[in-house]
Amino acid sequence: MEKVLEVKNLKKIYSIGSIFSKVKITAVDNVSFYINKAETFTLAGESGCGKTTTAKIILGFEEPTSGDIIIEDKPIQKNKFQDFRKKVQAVFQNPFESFNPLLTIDDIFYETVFNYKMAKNKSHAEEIINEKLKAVGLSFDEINGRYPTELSGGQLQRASIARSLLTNPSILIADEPVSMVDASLRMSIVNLFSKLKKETGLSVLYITHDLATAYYVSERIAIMFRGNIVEMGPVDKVLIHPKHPYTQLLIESIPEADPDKKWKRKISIADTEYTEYLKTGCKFAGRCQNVMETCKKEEPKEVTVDNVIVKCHLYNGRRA
Amino acid sequence: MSEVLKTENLKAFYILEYWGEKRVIKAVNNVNLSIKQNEIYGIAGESGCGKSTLLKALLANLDPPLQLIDGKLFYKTNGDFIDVFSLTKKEIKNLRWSFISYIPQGSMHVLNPVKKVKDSFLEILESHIKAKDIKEYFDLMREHLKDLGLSPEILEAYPHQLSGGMRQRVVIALATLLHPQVILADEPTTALDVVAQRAVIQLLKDIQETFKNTIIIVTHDMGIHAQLTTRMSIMYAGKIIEEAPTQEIFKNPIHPYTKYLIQSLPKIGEKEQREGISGSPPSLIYPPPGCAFHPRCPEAKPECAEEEPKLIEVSPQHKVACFPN
Repeated sequence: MEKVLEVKNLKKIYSIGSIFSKVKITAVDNVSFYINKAETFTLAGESGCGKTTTAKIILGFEEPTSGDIIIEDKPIQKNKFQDFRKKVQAVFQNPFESFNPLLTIDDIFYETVFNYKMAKNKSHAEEIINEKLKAVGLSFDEINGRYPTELSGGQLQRASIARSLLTNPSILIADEPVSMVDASLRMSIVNLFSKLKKETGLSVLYITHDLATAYYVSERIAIMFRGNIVEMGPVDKVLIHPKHPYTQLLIESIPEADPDKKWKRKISIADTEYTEYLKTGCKFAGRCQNVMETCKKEEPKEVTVDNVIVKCHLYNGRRA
Repeated sequence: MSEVLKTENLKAFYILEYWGEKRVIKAVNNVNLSIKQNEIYGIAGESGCGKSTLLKALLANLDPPLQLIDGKLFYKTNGDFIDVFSLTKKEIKNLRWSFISYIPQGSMHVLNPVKKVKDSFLEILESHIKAKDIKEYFDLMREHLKDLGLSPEILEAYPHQLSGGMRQRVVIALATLLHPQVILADEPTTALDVVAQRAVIQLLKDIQETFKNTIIIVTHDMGIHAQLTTRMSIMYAGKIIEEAPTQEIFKNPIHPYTKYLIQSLPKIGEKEQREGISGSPPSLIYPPPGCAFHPRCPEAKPECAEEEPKLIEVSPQHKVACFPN
């Protein structure tokens, strides 16, 4: 299958603190994954696990310390940034913050169309805008001359997706696109990604901590923890039969809408994120139920078990 | 069980004036609540349904443009009901934190970013308790954190140094510092990931079990209601449309909106198509006539558009505002 996006050994190190007490934090540590054409790939994990940093690097907002990003078999070229941006578009968490509040939404749409030289004149531009709005279930009248505050969150998030589709991208980076949207509108946004995938062959990098919608829309998933991908594979395998203790914890912690199924085990969380980032060995060792002596000293290697890549000492003996 | 807080026909509207044109946002419209001691009461509903405003009203924190239009609010302290809206500002202030406290949404903006966590704790203690010296205050803080199972080291941290889940737990510790009888929590877990969310819920549950107080929690996440609450209500367009013990709500929902809220969320292991609810939330300025939900309701009948259904008891403890089929 054709790979639309490939990320190879991506690394990002941040230095924190003053010159006297410098601490180096590896926010993204050797992350590699790929996304096929017409595929939804989920990057999941708790806040501060490096998933947004990965997205920022892919979008070119941050410089990686090392590693490569390959879009449609070509590495990103700095001088052809606009070509790259045409292919890779983004949808962000809060639609109210992603639109300029002082511009009307149709102005923002026209701006994108003309910036990328998609249309020759205004009527052609309107045609393109109308087509994309239709794809997300909005009409031109609904956004024409209206300011972002005049639309509801759900409508605005749809408009934000329509805007990102204007350049006919091959991949959409969606960073927590539904976490600000109400439960009642959440499904319609998630269904929209599935629809676009089927109809136009769009690939989506879906970044979320909501594993239920991740299972619902995506084919493959990667679970991130403190900069590392700890488990990666098809959603049916990773989410139904989780292997890494962290994935198991994540799945167990989803509050199920059933008062008879309550959590039994008590959990602990980290006081600060730094302490876990600075751990040697497996970063999850401090909270893991199955912790062993080696976990605290040695970083686990990636092993493939049953078509799923796992980074855990529990599976080290079994190399497939 | 005895009541600890109740409202009678509570109405709180936002009244705005634009260029001489008056707009009234009916955020809390005729709400009758009766909250009992030692229960965790949940309020569910989508954003803009008035649930946060209801909490503000319960805290008697009504600042313009939010105005009290009608109705009464009672707190039960020392065995007597007191009419809260008849109290002076100072008397209400004394009740806050000690009788009723509030856990706001978005802990990021609650703690002063340039002060250490201990300073925020100290401020609350100093305004309510007279102690001999500062050491006594610190002993109180440490003891409280120990009760909640949090490490006293966090007192020395600045808010930005804590993780999101930890910061929210610090805010909860702060809100429960004076062991209030009623705790209002406004979306305490929104914007947290599942693991941090679970830790926060766990803490709230522990607090309730230890201090035997009452928690009123507002969230749109039905999963949290299922995990935490004992009794709950569903709000839509400023009104309560269904109220029952949590078990009953999930086993036997009656209102179409409640049914939808429970069924809409996807589960791991189920891939069949799920539909979002059609239409958008109603305007609180011009709510639809009749039942506010009828434009989106799959089971709407002609009378739904004309007459507003009343909240009536259909079985013991289970109230619903919907015309029977």
